[in-house]
Amino acid sequence: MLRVEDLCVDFGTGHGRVRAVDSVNLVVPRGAIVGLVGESGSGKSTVARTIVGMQAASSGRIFIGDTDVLAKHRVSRRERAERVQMIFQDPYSSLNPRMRVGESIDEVLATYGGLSSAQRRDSVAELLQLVTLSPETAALFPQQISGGMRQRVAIARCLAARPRLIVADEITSALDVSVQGVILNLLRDLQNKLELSVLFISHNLAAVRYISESIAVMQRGRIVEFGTADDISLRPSHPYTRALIDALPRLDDAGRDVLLSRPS
Amino acid sequence: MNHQLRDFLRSPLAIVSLTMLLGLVVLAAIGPVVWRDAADATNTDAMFAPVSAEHWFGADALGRDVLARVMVATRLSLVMALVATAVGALAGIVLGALPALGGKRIQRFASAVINMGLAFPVLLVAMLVVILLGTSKQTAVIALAITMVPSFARLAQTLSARVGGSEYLAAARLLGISPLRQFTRYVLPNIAEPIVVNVTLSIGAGLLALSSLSFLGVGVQAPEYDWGRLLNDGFDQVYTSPMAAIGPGLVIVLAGLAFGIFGEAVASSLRSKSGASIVRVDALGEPPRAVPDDADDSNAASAAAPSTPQPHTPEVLLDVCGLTVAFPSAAGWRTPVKDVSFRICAGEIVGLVGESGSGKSVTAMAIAGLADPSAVVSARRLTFRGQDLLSLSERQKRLVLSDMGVVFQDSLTALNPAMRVGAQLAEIPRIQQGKGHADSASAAVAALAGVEIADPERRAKQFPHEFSGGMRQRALIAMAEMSEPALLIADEPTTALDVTVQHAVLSLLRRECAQRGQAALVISHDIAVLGQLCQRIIVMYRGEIVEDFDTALLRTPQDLRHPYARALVESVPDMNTDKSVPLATISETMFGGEAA
Repeated sequence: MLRVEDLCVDFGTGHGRVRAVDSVNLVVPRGAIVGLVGESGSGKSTVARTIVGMQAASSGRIFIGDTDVLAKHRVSRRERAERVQMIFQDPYSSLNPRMRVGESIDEVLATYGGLSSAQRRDSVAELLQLVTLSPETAALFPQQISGGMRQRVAIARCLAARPRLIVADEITSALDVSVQGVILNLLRDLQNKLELSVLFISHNLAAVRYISESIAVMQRGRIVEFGTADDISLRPSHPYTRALIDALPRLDDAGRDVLLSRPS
Repeated sequence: MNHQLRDFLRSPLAIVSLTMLLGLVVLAAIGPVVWRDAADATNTDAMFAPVSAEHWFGADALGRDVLARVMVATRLSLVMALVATAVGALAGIVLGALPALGGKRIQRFASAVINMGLAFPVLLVAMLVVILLGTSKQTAVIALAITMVPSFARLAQTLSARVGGSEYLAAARLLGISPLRQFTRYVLPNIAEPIVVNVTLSIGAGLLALSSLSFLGVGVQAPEYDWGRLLNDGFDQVYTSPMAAIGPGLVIVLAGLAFGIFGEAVASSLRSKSGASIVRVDALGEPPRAVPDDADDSNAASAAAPSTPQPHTPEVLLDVCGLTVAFPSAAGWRTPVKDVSFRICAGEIVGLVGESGSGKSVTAMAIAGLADPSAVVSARRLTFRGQDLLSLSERQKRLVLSDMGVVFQDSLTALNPAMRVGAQLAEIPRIQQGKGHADSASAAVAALAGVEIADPERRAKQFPHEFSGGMRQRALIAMAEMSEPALLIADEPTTALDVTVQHAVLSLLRRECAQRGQAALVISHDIAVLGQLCQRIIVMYRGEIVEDFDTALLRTPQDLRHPYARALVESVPDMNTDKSVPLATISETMFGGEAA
């Protein structure tokens, strides 16, 4: 569904030029979740922004379906929206504070599909139920609901555009740990039900491993390792991948004072 | 929405200004109808007549009643001010806010235009317009509108820049929402409030400006008249019948005030909505306080004592019993912390875990004496190193509390951005121990070296923004350790950090505590992080402690007593989580009964 070939993204010009993304190759097969993991500054969010068109690429190709979205200069706003959608990190800032939940989903439905307003109302209720929210949520403003609920609204809104590919950029990092599981479960359910193709981006290797079939590890603009989730977590070959795994706090080590015995 | 409007209508400023505005509107509506004849009736007997029962403001050169003329002029004066402000505001908003939807180049161009507009002196622009278009009331309105455009545009530009950079607008773009809808439903509603306030204030200012133009003779031309024109006419007879000038002047001031006060009232109502509402604490009644306990205090404390007894509990460093924190809010007292009891022994590292809003940070800040000034902190017992923190005077308390070091969550806001890191650290020994400048500076460098910051001499001379997130967190730890406190309180010390950096900072904290024999209270929403660092973990849920257990129990979460604590552990995926089953989740209603 997504094929990224030799993608390079530069920031700045002349001597201040910084290569944020360096010859990245990445494939997300139809109906699969692929994880992209890395720390801040690794360029993973830049890859996400370039795929959805918020950031210009310096060189390379990005195929969504069978069209290169970088080559086609005049891909219409609507056409691109139907190809790829992004779920943002912070549900506190990705929803318009002045718009009721139902309205913000409804306007996406109105942009596509050509449904009557009664049909759209039903669709809004369906979408809300799909993300395990009650249809009554539609009447509320974003600031009246919790962070986890907001992120579910953002997911419903993204699904309303029926995109072929979803880019999920750190969608659990702004949430409480106890709510992160809810969102991960939901995304997995939806992916099974709707056969979504998802690029799941996170700094949390444990979350990426849990939800993805294969994982790309990114460091300083390059993909340093790519493999199945099991390969990456059980047999990491790159030292950076190993460092990421070792740094994760493990419940098995609780109370053993590993921080003193195993220096960083 | 409705009760907000009701609150607004009850505020004295709003009542006063609305009454005045209502009066003005009524005058504008009926003025020309009722007083037209009186205003136009010339009377040679009453030329320059002074104030009398018949002519409250006197009469003018043709013996016309000035008061009647002022009343008639209300409509023209108000309409001109309203039209000018409306045109100016509209043009300003379009010029300022519309570019937010466009690219960088369009924004830069619009910004240049606005800057240029702001650079022109207002009076010069107005005069230029008058010279070009000739003196008339239309010209005056156009001139005023043009002078208002740049300032409205700048305001709209500043406000919409925030919206333009927002994720919700980016999301709308990605979702293919049309630009028109982006402007009307995303940009405008999110910049509306300050602009509405400014428009209201500008009407008052516009009224004054138009009156000035008319007074100078470049506004409304005879035989038409507005307040400014009347003021001008009255000025001729200011020595014989001052009221002919003072009267119109008074009305101009009153009308200007009415709009000004109304604008302020709207502004303050909007301010209070954004969270800074004024709550009358005395109207809320008695704040909830710690429940006094007649039973033996040690019994009360042991109820919440560690589930496994500590074999080496020589000295209780911090003893918290029945801590309750209450905040005044519009809906009455809120108690984010209810009857919390725990102890920390010397050298012990204790974790405090809970979701956002569980009261964990409020608990720690209340202990450290850093609770919000509006908070009411009470406890059955709150002792640190055997000193009763509740009964000490402020000065003694500060002395005792200097033995607690606090590491704040957000290292970017916890450090002063305008001060070199070394100088910030050096303040502590200088103020607390009265050391000299050189000694303090070298102590700061040593402290930075102590938290493994490479090249500490150079780093001490840098500003916080030159540090990476992990280094800033280290600097904060160094700062908290400067006074060698017996207890370190760390509020989410690694939340914003990458995992590898988090690991390094946690290791550093652990080593610092081990080397100094220091106790620590570490707050986090991530129980796995606390599992690495702490010896004991306290779980908070909706302001109460629901479990207090030895960290080793995390390896067998099924042994935890409270379902919330269990769920908290099981909901976090790690590298061994079974991928074939859904993650355990915490339902929002699961513990509703207990929280009531």
